[in-house]
Amino acid sequence: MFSNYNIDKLDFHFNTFQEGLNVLLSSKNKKDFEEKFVQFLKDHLDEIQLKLYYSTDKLIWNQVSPSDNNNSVKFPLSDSIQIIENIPFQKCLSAVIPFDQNENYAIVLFDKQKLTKFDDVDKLNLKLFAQLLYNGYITFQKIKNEKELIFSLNNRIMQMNTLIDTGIELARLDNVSKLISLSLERAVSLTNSSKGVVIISRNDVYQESAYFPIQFEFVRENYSSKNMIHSEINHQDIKIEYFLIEKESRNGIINFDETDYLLANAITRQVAAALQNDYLVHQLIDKQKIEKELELAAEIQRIIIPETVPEIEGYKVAGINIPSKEVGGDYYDVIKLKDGRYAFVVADVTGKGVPAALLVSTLNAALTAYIDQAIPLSDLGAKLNSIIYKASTRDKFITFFIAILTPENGNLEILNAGHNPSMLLNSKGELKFIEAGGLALGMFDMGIPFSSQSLTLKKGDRLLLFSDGIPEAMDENDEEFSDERFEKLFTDYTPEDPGKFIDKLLKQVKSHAGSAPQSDDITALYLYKP
Amino acid sequence: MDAELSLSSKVQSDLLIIETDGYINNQGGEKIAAEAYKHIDQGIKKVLLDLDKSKIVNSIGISILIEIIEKLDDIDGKLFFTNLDPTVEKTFNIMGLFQFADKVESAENIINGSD
Repeated sequence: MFSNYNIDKLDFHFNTFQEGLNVLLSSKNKKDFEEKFVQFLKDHLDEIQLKLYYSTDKLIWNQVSPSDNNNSVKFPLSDSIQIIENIPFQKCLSAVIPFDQNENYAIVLFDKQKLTKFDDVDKLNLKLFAQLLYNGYITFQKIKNEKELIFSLNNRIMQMNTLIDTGIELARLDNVSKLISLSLERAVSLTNSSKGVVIISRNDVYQESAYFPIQFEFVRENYSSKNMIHSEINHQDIKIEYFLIEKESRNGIINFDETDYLLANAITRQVAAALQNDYLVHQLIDKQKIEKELELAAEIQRIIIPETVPEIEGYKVAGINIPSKEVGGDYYDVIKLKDGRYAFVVADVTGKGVPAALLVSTLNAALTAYIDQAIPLSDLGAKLNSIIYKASTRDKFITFFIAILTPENGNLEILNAGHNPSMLLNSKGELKFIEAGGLALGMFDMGIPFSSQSLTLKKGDRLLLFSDGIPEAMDENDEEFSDERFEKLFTDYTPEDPGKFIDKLLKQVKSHAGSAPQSDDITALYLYKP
Repeated sequence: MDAELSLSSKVQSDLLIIETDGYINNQGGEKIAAEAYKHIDQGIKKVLLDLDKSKIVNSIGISILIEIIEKLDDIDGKLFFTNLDPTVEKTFNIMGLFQFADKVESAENIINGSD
């Protein structure tokens, strides 16, 4: 029958084992485990000295508790827990506890004061504690590995989540400095880098840098690909380089791994996308601004350019103006003067859009102001030239053709300031080009005189004022409508109905152009004295 | 490397309040841990980390914070956080810190016993 004494003893051993296990499993790390184990033994073994040894190869055993790097001993090879006497030194009792090839412990008890020899009870107790160490360490390692695995998995989730959130935040930023700053912070923290720097250059010329967490002296040559990640974005003429330096760990600096490179590149791609989006948004805003400007310019043009031409007794008049884009640079008008004369005007401004429209508006205003002052056309040319010169930039000028008709006698006063010559076809079919003389308005303001000329429209004469957009109209093969074809059309056309001529001219030009977009404004003023 | 994180601490009632300023990485985390353990060894069981000026934490820093949590848990103590940046809070959530630590509005919440 099993005595109560034995049951109590077994119970004691069981409780001791369980208590020891609880103590060991509360260890924070391997060193803590060893210290807790040694202390537990000391608490349960009276008047005995002990040492704990550790080996990674079963050949060399180092004393870990109390710690002594200079004291290494040898134990016999063993594949299971072994209790041995007098090894590694006399009058000691040892337990060798192998885990695997790379991890082995040995407990050595010595200096037992009461007895000269360790007895079977001592051996049994030591075996118990050896088993405790074995079970405790195995479980401790499993828990540690499990914790590390959970931490690692959570860390991966955290990295992915941070990457997603970073992408969203970057896309919302409209300030490049904040974008760079945020992306650098995230790249450094996600890769556990010690520090990072972003270097921005334009056309390979250094512009500025950003640092995290603090500014430091960065010498690229001091680092290799193992301790530095380099990732680069090229946007327009700007290069943005990210350098992440020295990956941290609890045990010091370690090499960056593949995941770190992936994370860093993912962040820089997000930055690139954000910059591209920002660029596109600005492009869109600019486009909308331009469209608004063009609307404004078109409105100005609509006000200035007449929708119809006046009827002049004894004459037939027709005109057309078709801008090549929303707003053109051509201008034409037929102005009735106070003295009963009519001014036929065709002008062509360099450039398009609002600046051209404003210049045309200036011309129109100046012309309106001076035309009724009955000053000679040469003086009018000089005044207009001065005004346009002051109102325009260096690259802007206006070619200008004006013919003032006195309806009663058909007299024409003509001034051509740099414009293409108008065509005059008489009743005999003779074609004449009216050049007149003078530079375009706004080119120079040096008092260069303008010269006018006079002629008389006779019955059957036809005058055509036009802009170069007609003879220079291009087709898909970049071939022009041509002066010759234009002249032939003008000379061949009968009967002499200006409106129908304009229509026919327009049809022919459009037919020539085909699917090619209109290359220049089309402007024509036709005066016929039947 | 120069230290990037700075901190200040005070004990209010039985609560240690640590205010940090800077990046909580390995070095920053070790600084926080050293300050916390110094007071824990003197009997403090409640620690509040005010991270108002620390918007970035890396995984090394987080692992050190977890160790502080475990050490406090061993002595029936607790770690609290306040003034967390939303990104940091989300990170702590994913990493499981709030299973054993709490976030609070202020130190008064802890001192008055509402947390």
